Amino acid sequence: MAIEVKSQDAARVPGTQRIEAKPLVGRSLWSDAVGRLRRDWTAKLCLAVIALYALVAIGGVFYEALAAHDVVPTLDEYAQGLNARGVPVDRPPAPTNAAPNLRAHWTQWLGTDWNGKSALLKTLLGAKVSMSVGLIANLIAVPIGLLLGAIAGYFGRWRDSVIVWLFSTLASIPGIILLIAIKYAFQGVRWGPLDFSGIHGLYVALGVISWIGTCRLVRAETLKLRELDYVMAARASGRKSMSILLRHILPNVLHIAIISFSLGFVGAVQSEVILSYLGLGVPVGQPSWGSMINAARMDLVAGRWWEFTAAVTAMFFLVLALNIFGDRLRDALDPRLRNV
Amino acid sequence: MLLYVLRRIGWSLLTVFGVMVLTFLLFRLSAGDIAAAHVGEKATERAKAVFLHKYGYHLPTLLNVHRRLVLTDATDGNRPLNVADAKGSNAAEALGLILETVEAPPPTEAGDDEPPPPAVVPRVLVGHYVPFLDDQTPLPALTRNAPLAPQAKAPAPKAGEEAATQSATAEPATQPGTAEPSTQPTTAQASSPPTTGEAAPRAIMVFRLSDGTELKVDFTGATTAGDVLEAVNRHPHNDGRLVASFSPRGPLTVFDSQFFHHLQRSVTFQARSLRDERKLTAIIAQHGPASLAVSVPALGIGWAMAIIVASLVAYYRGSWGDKIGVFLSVLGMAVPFLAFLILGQWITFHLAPARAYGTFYPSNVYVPVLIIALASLGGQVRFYRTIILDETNRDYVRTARAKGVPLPGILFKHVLKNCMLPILTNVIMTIPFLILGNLLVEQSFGIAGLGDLMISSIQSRDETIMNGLVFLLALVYTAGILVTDLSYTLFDPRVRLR
Repeated sequence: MAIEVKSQDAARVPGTQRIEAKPLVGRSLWSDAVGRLRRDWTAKLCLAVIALYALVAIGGVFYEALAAHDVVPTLDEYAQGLNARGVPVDRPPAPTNAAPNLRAHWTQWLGTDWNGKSALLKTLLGAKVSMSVGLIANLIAVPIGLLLGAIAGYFGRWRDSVIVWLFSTLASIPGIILLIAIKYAFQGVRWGPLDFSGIHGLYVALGVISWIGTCRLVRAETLKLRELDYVMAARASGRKSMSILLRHILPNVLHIAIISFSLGFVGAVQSEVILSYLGLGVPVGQPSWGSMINAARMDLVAGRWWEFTAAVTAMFFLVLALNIFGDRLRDALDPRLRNV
Repeated sequence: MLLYVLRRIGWSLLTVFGVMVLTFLLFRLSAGDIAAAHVGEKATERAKAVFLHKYGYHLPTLLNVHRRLVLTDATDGNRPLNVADAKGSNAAEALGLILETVEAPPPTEAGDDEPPPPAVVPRVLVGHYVPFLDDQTPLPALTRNAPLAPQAKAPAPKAGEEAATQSATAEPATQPGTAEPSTQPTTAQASSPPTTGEAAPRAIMVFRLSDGTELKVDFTGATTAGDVLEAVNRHPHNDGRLVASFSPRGPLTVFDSQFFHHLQRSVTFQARSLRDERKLTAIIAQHGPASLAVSVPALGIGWAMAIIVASLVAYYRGSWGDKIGVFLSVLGMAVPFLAFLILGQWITFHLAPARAYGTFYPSNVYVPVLIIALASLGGQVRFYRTIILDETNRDYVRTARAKGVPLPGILFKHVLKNCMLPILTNVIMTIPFLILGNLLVEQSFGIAGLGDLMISSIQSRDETIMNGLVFLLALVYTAGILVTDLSYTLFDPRVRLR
């Protein structure tokens, strides 16, 4: 970007001649961060793993849509040896509690559960639940946190007090307990096509409680930004508060939102697994890593390790990749928060 | 300083109030059909209504600007006042009448010289709360918030007759049953407001008073609440035996609502279990020790391990030990807690089956403690390492090394003291879990602690217990944060209180 500087100004302000002589190459925070991440093979590897999970999740969405329209067999139909229309095929029904067997039908590669359902298919479909919970919960939480944090920090006074009161109230109840309580309150609540006792309630519950961290960080950052000269200048030139907030404050705290998103994603995935394990997450019958682990608790004692291992391994690599990528992202975007 | 302390305390009180509002929203307003969950789906409407009365669910939600119809028995027998018969009409349900079984009769009832009647004898019938009830309130309004569900069975007129004749001889305890057959016409009429022009069905109620006498009141043609009062009080054969009135309304009855009762019960911990009517405090006292027995050692050991490992790793920054430590803690953070839990229990089961479940042996506590400590280690080490690294780069550490201070002296005397602030905050954050124990660990190891209690309360919809636990946690947490904030000056003189 070329900067035009009038000659009188250039003469008055020391150092501007150099800018005039050599146009400044823009090195914004974003291009800097992208460059940093591009050089970082660990970050790229983790991003690839996350993308893989996302692909599996999207595949899961398509699979369920196709299964609903009888194009591909559902989990149950695979288990009972039926085709997509419920007609028996020459493949025998899947054995129940079968150990992993690579020579059998592909659905039995990771073994089957007590119902004969494929552990492999369940694990793959579990990715859909985890990824969608991580994504949607944060799509709810991060904008709320961003907006409330910016408002609290910029306006101060009573708006600040109300928002701080709101998040300190929510924060004074341990997260998992609050989640459980909200999910409890959502029992049997329906609103149009949304069924809050199921996974929609999970999105909302996680969204409602996980904006706190974002809000805190954004508020603290806005408190600093508010005192900076360019904000003062904007205010002095008569810009409306809302416009300053949108044009000057929000773009400068956006990196915090992105960091929060990546950290919140991990939290949401882990919370979903714990809630589903407790039976408060996804509805019964929907494959999820948490419900798989719950079902496998007793299996493990009987020596049936495959369902548990599949779910735990799937979750391990997702959380590992998300954790490391989140760290690298934070390092790239916010040098002050950098891990030494 | 004093001003800061006061403001800080005021802020904490506001937060606690916020928590009470939140628990009210979560556990009280979203109750759903709580009576059906506890009395049973098939219970009579009256049984459900009695349950709701018992736990105060019948009260107005936020502010009590309501009144209700009260029928008071002025005779001095020892039998309960009840509706002996509600013939051919909506009667009892139309008026929203319900037996009072929980609240003792008002003290003005029994004179001071008379021996007070046993509290179980209901001598008052009350209606449902109706906002701004007065003489002009139309009759259907009385039933508006009555939990009326049409009974499945169609009432045959014969059955009604039978019930009526039966009730004349049966024990008063069977009365709720006799009111049942008349429910169907009740709802039919309640949905179409009775007008004087139409041929309104006859509404006759027979009250059995406490001295055994009966009073037959004809409500036919009554359209407003005032008509109901008149029908009872001006009854030719009443002679002051049964007094109908509206519940009194004073400046303080405004606070006689679910919300203010919730606040009061939360603060005083006076709630009772919806399941077995045990006191909340007794339940917490029973379950608390088991939770503490697991969580205190677990957090203590976990914290000590994390600090030691983090200090060492941070001190030898950049070495292989550091890299391996960080790598392991990143891996540890990614292992789901459930995996630690279930694998730990599985291994225990193979080594010593008796130690894998329950609290029969005191040594059963070791495995859960170890699991909690190990599972949290990864995250803790990383967190503390970052904090300690900030300090180990400072000049005073280099000076101490140059002077030849031994490693433990540097780490635990100088560095740790300077990182106390964030560490302390982090420890306070874990205090709620100290009390609650660990939900998952307690549940799967069969430890009857508060976490286990929480989960079983959710499963049995025991809202008062859940509310009590959540409030206790929030209270302790808020108090902890308050104490930390105030004690910052002790550990860090750089922090100046405004």
